[in-house]
Amino acid sequence: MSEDWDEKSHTGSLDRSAGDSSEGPSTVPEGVLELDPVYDALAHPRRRYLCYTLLSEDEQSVADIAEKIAAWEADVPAAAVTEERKERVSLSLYHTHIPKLVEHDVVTLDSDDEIISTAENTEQVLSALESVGATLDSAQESHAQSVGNDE
Amino acid sequence: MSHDDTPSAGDDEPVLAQRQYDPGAGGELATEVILAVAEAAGVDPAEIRTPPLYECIDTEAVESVFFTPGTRTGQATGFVEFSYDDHPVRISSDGWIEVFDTGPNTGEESSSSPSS
Repeated sequence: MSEDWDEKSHTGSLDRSAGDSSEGPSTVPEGVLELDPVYDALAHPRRRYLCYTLLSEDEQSVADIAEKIAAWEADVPAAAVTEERKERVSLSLYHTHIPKLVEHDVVTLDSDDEIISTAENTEQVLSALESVGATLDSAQESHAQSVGNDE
Repeated sequence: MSHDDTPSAGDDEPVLAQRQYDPGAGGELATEVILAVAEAAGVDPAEIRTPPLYECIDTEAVESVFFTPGTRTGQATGFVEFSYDDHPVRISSDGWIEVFDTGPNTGEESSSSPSS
């Protein structure tokens, strides 16, 4: 048993004591080190929700997304979401979540600040979402893809 | 955006607006900061689009340092201060967000700047 554990820890660990990072551990696939956009994009439920909406449509209005997120969080139909709730979600989208996703090229925001659309890294994020989504966030996913006909 | 003359909130500068962020209420710190800034500026919060707050401060990072009960690293005490729209903004670990007036002497270094 202890031998098994030993083997695994060897194959999976980076040698942190290595002083010269220039060489780098050759065993780590390059792609693993480039997953920052994925992890950062998916680290917050509102960003995950936003990304889910891009699974069904390439373009979404920020107002629609804010309404859906507010409905999902309050567990009410979209029509029952108050303007205040919608605005609060919208502010967080405009001021933290969308800028973060734009920074990582996961979405783009149009010049009028109204419509978000897919970008270079969207596919990478969506495939990561799809692989975990079925088990972890399926309720969120199906809510995000429903188009307001939840009455 | 300049980094060298970021106004610092001295104790003598008037507070234009303040709100308390309640981490348990389900809202986001960024939302509360923008609501406070809007109140200070006397405008509709929805009119404040640029710059995104994210360009001035990562509020998620502040949430994770000050406002994450039940974690070892999420309950630090103190405050962070940054400048948004020429106003010094201070977020304290007790949840208070204060937006200060720029003050008449923005060029002067305040003697009460937080030690680094």
